[in-house]
Amino acid sequence: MPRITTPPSRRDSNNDSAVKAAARNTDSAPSQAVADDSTDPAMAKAAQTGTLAAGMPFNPTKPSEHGFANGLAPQTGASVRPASRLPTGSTLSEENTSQKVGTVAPEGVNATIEPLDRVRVDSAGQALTTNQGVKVADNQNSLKYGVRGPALLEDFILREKITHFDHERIPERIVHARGSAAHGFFECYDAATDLTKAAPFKEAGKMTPVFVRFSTVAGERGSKDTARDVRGFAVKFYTDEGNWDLVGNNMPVFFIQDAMKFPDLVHAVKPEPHNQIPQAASAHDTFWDFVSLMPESTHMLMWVMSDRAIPRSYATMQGFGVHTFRMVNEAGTSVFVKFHWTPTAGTHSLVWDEAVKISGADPDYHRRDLWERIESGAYPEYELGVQVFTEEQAEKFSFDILDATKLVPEELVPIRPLGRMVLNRNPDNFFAETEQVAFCTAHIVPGLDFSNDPLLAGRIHSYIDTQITRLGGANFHEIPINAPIAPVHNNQRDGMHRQAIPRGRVAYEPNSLAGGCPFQAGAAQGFVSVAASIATQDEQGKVRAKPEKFADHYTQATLFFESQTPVEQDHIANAFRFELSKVTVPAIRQRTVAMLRNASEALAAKVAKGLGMVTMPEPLPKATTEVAPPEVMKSPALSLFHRPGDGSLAGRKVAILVASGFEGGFVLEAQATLLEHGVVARIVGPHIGRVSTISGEAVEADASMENAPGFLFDALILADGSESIAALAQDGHTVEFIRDQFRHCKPILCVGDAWRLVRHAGLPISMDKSLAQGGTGLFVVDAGEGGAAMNAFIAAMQKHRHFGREMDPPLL
Amino acid sequence: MPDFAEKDACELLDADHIAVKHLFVDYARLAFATDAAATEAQRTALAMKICEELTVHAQIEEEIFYPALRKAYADVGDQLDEALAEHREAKELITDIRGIGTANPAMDTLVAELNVVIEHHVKEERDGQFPKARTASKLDLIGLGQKLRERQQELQAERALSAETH
Repeated sequence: MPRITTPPSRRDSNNDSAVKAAARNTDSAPSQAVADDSTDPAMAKAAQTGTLAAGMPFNPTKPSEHGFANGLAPQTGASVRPASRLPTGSTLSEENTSQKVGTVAPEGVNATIEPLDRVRVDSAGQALTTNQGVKVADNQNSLKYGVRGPALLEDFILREKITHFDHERIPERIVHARGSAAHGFFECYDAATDLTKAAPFKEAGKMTPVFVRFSTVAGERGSKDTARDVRGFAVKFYTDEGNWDLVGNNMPVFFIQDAMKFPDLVHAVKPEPHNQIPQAASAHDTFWDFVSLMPESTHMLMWVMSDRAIPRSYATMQGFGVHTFRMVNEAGTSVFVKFHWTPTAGTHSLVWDEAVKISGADPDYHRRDLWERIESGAYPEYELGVQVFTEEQAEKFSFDILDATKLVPEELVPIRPLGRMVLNRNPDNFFAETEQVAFCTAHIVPGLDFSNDPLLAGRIHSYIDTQITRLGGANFHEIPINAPIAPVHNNQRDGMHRQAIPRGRVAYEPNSLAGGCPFQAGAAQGFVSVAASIATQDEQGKVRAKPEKFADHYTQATLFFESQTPVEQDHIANAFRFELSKVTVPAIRQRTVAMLRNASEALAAKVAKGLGMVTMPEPLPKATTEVAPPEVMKSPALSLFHRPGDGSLAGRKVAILVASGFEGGFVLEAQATLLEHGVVARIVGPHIGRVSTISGEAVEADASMENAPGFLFDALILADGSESIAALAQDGHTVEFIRDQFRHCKPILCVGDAWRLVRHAGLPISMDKSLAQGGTGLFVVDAGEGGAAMNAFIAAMQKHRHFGREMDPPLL
Repeated sequence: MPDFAEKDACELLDADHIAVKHLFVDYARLAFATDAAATEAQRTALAMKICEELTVHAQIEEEIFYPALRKAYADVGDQLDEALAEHREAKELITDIRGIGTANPAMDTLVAELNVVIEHHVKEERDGQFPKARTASKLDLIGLGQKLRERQQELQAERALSAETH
């Protein structure tokens, strides 16, 4: 950094009082610089200010602002160290302190980046006050003229309370309104400095705090969690070199290729404008009208119709950065990367019938699951990895890496693991943290950069823009959850709800009056964009068009479909059938099936059949016939079965269904065994409260079949005990409870006479061969054999679902 | 084992459908896992069992169930012809799978194809032929079930014997 030597100040003759007098004015001044006389603060400040300004006789970095080479390596800005803190202060009176003003701003510190403790509030032992700190004597009554008289306008306490209440709501996010979030950390496995100089990847074991928000896309803030939808997977890394937001999804591709179409897509999927129906659902006319006219959406539609759109938990879904990004190392070498989050617990989903039912019984299903996992120490964990490829490699791919509707098959470019993320702390306050957190794709740090993906380009603008309205102004970065842990020093000033109180009078750069501070960091420390050249720049000018390879709309849709297990393919076909059956315009269905024919004839035929189409529509004309042969024809990594996870059951729930007269010994033992695996086994009765065992012991049922229906549980245990079974058999809930467990392919352990309940629920006789064969996840054991079956039951839970019993339409 | 009553013809055939679907699902789970290479023997055994089960199933349908249905209904001819075509398709795949012998990615693909063919066939049968069979007054489904079971056991025994002697 260029340092300028401060010239000695000239000491003049005995005109101290004149100088003192002059120093007491805020305009006009003597013609000569004055000497520093530390006995008089005003004089000293004037003198030191003069010295400081004189220390920068010219702007030494001005010449380096020019030329391409300088642009790649900007210099650090000039700075001069003042003789004391006097000249950079706002006021000499800062020496006067109080309980409110505190003292003087500590040198070089922005206190707004301190840990969240600075804004945490705990009211233990405190009396109720107004927002002005006035203790409220009576919080029950408004102020009236007489007990039956009129309320008085002067009641500032009532008015403050009501006024604040009236303004509690802020606009919800236009997309991703429904979300849940948690704090945690990212831990770097090994230094990845060969790839990037980004702070989180600098050394093995380095920890970076994160805040992660998961969300649906289409539904409003209060909508159900289990809608068929993409899930947002947004990670804010509070790195020591600034905030990095990796604003991803649980699917690696998107519907559209250019941000120009984003408002159209969202308008199409949101509730229809005339009647605001349907909430949190894509199964309606406008969505399918739009996407069937946008064949580039075919690949994404495959993902959204797959079970990935109905995850079992946020802890059991992958995350993706979607776009191609860049990583840049210290030497300035850049490579392309695709980000992948892989859940340690494996990729597991719900089935559609289950998701629909859950949305009624527990619309907060995923929010509750995330909260409860963290509260119980079953911390969600994900591995971050990147697919790395060079620009030269990318040019040879059969697809364009700037196209957000394409993925890079893992068989073509494997994933390199970089570290792990653990979510280990729930927010203290939903609004202050989860609602006010502002993710922006524009938030990147040195060592990272963007690609030219045109959808990403639009997002870089859109996120910041939308936060300004949603959070009420340009200072949303100061909201505690959004403030970085890296120092923030700039000359951005004012605006609504400003929190920072900048010291001094300088709000511009270059300056000499603040000694040049804050100065530009230069290439050594600061963010420098990759000097990506546009190869074709000479031939092409400004243009609104897509690259040719963007016109291949179907190859990867086919790849995705062909890379699923047959069960997953069935689920995709059934989802298309469901969604399109909800469409009211046959022509839109026809057009969608016509589009699907270009991706998979088998899928199209199945969907058409399910929709009662008598004749198949002709395939949609293709945007191009010149399609490069794909490098990969089948990618098992695209199947949910590819990542069963580490087998941990932590966070799962089991219902043990009982009524009075059940076999208590087994139930309590099973509950304890499951708890050892991190599984919460709830005793579910006909009602909550005491139920007694055969031997007359009282056990608390903490959930009832009425308040916790079967589909909310991952597995079911039916305990033995003739009286209990008789009571359950006459309760209509029992049949539904068992039927849903069976239909959703979940493990069921049935001990002794409890078998009667399963038969009562309608288990078809044709299950007999499968039961004898084994592997059904349905365990029918003799009285007293329940304990011995627990290991097999737990192993069946690890398989998550037992689709062997799944028929279309369902057996039960 | 639980107390199931005797199955009628549709129930017996459906029991085959559900049981073989379990095998298909198990196979896919292994074939799509990251450690697919380590489960070669398991997958081979599953594939051979699937082929065996389906061969017997197709044969008893062709010998007993379809002719009975054809006799009971004049208008099921097309449906049954389609079913037979699906059987032929399945048999070709079974031959190919057996030809490969040991599980590998090619076998994984064929087993998945067979799964899809069977899934389609089962749906047609469950949606179309079973409701017809169940409402045909001329059909004695219990008696037919008995016949199917006897022939199934006979074929299984024959095949087991021939497997032993080979």
